[in-house]
Amino acid sequence: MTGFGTAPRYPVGRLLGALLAVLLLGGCDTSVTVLNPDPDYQFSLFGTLQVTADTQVVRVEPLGDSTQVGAPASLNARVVLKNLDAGTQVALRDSFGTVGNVAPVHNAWTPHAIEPGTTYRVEVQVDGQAVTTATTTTPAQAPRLRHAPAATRDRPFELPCRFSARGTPVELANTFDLRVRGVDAVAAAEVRYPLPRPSARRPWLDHYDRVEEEPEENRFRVSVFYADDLLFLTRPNAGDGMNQCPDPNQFTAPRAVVRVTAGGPDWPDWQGASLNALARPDTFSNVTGGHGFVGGVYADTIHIPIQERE
Amino acid sequence: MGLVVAALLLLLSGGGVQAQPSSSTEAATLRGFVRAAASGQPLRGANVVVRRLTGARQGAAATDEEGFYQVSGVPAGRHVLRISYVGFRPYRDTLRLQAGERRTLSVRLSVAARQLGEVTVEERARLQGEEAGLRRVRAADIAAIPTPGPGSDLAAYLRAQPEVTATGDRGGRLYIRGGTPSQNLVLVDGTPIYKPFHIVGFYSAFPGNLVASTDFYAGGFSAEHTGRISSVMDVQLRSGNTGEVQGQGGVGPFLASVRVEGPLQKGRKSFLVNVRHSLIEEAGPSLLGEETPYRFYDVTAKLHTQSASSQCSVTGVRTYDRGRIDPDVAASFQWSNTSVGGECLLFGQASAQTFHVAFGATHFGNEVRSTDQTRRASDTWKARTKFDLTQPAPWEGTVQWGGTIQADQYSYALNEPFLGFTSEDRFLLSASLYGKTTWEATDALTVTPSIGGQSLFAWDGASVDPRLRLAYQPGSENDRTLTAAVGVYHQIPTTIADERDVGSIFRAWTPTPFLNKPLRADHALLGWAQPLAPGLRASVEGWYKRFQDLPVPRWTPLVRTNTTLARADGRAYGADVRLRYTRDPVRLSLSYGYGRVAYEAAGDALGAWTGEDLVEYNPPHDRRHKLSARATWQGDLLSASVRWQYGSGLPFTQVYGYDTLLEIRGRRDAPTDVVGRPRTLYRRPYRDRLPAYHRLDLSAKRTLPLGPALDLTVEGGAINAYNRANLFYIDIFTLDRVDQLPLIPYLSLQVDVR
Repeated sequence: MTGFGTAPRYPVGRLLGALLAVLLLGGCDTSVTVLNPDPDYQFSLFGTLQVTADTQVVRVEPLGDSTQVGAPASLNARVVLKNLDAGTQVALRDSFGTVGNVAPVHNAWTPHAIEPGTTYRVEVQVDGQAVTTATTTTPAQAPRLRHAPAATRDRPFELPCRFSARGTPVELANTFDLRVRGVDAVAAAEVRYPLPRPSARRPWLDHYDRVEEEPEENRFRVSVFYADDLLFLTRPNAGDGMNQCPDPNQFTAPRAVVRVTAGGPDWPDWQGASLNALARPDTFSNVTGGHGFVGGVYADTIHIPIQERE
Repeated sequence: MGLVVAALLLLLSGGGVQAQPSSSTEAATLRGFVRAAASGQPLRGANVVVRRLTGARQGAAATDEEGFYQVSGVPAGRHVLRISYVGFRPYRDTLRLQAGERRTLSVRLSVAARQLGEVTVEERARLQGEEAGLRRVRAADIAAIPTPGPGSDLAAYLRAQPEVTATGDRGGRLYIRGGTPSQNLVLVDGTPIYKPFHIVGFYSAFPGNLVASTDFYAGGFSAEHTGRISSVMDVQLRSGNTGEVQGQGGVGPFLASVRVEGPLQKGRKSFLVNVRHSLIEEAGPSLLGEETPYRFYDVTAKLHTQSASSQCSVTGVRTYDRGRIDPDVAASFQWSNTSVGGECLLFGQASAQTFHVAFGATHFGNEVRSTDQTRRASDTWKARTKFDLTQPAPWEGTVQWGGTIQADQYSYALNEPFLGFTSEDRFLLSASLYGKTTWEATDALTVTPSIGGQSLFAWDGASVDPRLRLAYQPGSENDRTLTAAVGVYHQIPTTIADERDVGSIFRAWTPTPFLNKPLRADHALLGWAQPLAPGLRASVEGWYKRFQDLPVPRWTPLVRTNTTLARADGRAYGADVRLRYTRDPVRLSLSYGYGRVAYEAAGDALGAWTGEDLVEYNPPHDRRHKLSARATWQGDLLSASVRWQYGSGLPFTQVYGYDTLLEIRGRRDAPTDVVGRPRTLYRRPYRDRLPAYHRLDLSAKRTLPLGPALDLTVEGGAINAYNRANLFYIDIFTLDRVDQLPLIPYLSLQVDVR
């Protein structure tokens, strides 16, 4: 006779029992932690330190909070700008406000002047300890810009624009060039046309992607396809109106302005990188203890005369 | 490669058939349809046996999904024909067949009152028995799954299977043995349909009372199905009643339904129309105490005509879904399917061939509108013609071959907040051919080799898919079965996904971005089934799938629909175990599924910041353990069903922070001017696991006769009976937690009018 308490136990039964127990016990907890801040990455920093600018602004964003777009009202941190060459430092002021009607952010700013050829560090301190830093060196000099169609191969800014038989502007015939010397890297190239513009449109058109390095000449070349810009500015909706650039009397001045910004020696080579590559937290960053990029820059402008095409 | 093409051409040429020995050509062929006498419905799986007067068997067959049978190689002379089907009175006749005669004999079987015990399975059941990777789903199987009615639904049945992983009870996405939803081929009466599953996971375009049968291949399918690399759901809707007009109306808390069917020409032509519309949006707040912003409907219509030597139908399906997966987020999803197609099965006296042709067009559209009024939309069109020819083989078995021509139009337009607009519009023409033979090598062994090829006209070359299926029944009875399948599978289109959150259901179809490199999978399956005791049957099947050239979303912290795809390889393997006990009035079922899915991609291509050259990860549908237990009791007055299911946690990605990216390059984004592009900074993707999931569903049903032609069916039950807070997903961008549906008690009423 087999007693109730002494019934033989089969391994299969025990295994099934154990499996069920694991499944059920494992299945009781329904909590889950998604946001798990990392003490090695506390803030992101984005901005430039610009020689000759009257205000320096750096975006400072805490990473470990649950605000996805924007930031909480309190930064709970102190941001300082250190001149590593001189051994001095200034505290940046916190400007918390809504930008672009989207979300409130923290912009740390200072009217402190930035010197050329100098190494700076932006430091975020929590309880007196530096937790996130970005270190950069400003360019030693302003970019030297030259546009000399008469003496060089630079193409001039000529109107009226030339169009192909299919009605598209001919790039070769509607592009002007300028050359940049004396810089480690070009950080930006922008053009402003002397045209009335809608208030919502930014005055400067970006031409950074058209910057080419000419290493044998130790210089950079900026080529501006101005007919494309003018069509964009005057008829932003494709297929709208005639295929012609603005009439010369529509210009408020006989020249366009090109602003070229030099980047410091640590300026990344990120021209042509995809947005996905740019967005990776481990790329194009000089921030430790966080993410982002703070670079030193130095800008200058040149006037490009608008000529009548012969 | 050349050898494979030559073999395919030889198979397609039918050359083998021409070489039949003269003794075979003098044999007679018997074929026709087996249908229910009262309704005219084709009976699938009916056994057809031809014997000599002495009792020696001369030939046998089982009817296919259209009720068609063909017994070839019957010697001339007098024979006894017996056709039987469970629940119907058998048909017996004595025939005199001439040498070389091709006789058409279509029969109608009458329902037998309580004769289940008398039915004997005379044909070797391997013709309709266990097959590798195949689950033949009958209406009764679907009805046994507790579903908030009225009526049952194929979707609820599929979700209960160990082969199937669903990421939640909303969204309509099914992952089959490591594959993704875009790798599943769903056919309704031979016409593809892209996403027939409704936003509430219990429902699809296939109500249980419309499904005649479904062949659900979780892998290892033969080459007549090309173009998808994971699974096939071949749904045959039943036709309307050719004998009398019938109607049905029902209402429950989730939906209301109406069905009308009847003869257009008595005994030959019929119609069927079924309409269902959701009510959950209106009923949810009072029933569940929470908002349930889900609306859907489906309309199905079928015209059917049949004769002794042909059967044709035209089927139209329209589905519409709209809703918010997260009730607290105003982003609204919408998708729709419109599918119209026809198919015919024909044969004549002059030939031993049967000819099947299907043609149809299908459209799938889906869109999501965000709170900021940005819109992402995708439309996909497909027009398709397919034909199949089947004929007796020189060996014991059949030869089947056919082809498909299809035109596809893919377009999408994605308007992304912070990122702008992306669009694509592609038109593609493709064709495929296949050949297949079934060789009954011995009484115990059936071998089914097949080979298919498909070509996209815009690409160089073609993909070739050799496949092989085996079924071995060593015993003399239908008891033990060994099944196996191996094969190569290719697929041209894929989907790009919205990686905003796991609950996002927006998908845009597009051709694979890797030129001349279609998605590829290699399948291997091995299964065993046998009875353990009277009424108790066990089966186990191991499976392995290797994936190559899968387009997977590139990892990016940007919050966007990711149109940048990286190439990944993958492997999935596991095993499913089933125990079934059937003894009237009880049916018990216990199933356990183990599976593992892993992808592997180059770190640079994937955009991974893990520091590894080759990154291996488990995609979000890698559910390791699935357990399901079901009990059904079918009494004279009442039927009841209980189901409990368990699923281990799915992979998810932990986040360590959020910020907004400013593009310092070109000084394009100044801190004072723009907020930037939102970034989600996550740890190693899919490394963590969501909590496990389990749920108990109950239902009880009783049918009350209200008159000679009027029945009332009352069904009550509860979904998630112990009200467990099963996590559906966590939106890693908003940290919103969305749970699956809570306890849902329901009561539905259905009236049947004959």
